[in-house]
Amino acid sequence: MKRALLACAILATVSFASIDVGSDVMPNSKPFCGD
Amino acid sequence: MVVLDSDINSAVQIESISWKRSTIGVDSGIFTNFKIYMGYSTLDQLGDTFSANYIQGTRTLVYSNPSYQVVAGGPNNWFTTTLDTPFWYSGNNNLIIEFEWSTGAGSIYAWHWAAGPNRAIFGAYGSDTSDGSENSIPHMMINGPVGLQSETLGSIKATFGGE
Repeated sequence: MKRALLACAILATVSFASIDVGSDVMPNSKPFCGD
Repeated sequence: MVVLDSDINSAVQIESISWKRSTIGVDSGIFTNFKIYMGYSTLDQLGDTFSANYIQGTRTLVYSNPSYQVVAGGPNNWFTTTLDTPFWYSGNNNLIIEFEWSTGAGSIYAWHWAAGPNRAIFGAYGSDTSDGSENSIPHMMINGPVGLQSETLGSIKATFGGE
């Protein structure tokens, strides 16, 4: 009798991205303000 | 601030966030006891009490710097904060990004956009409740691996037998 065991793992494909949230509308909203 | 799931539209392991400096203000500043928290929210509009906006137990410290010098660069330059601890955003529910600092020097302005009512709240350092709300939030980049978490989805085992 012949037996073979095949095991493999499937890895998810992941890619790096920058998700753009918003747009340039107001230049003068509340800042990181230290003054 | 609260960022809607429909604005992000993806699961992402957030490793850093970037802002775009506007045409006014200064190009660098220093901020004391600067911290960033992230967490989940079911709300599209924030209420007055900071902690009550989070889904309970999800508020997570992702960046802490006792003296954070932000170098924003020239007008319209993108500048980035790399998190100490990446935050896994699943794509379900909204994302709260909370910034706090005690004192600082220099006012850095970033481009904002009209996101809708009560999308950001602000208040005094250490206060539990806000002094007001904002209808605009910064134009941002949320940076990191997008899509499914890097994990083993499953395994295939096959046994072949014969005589």
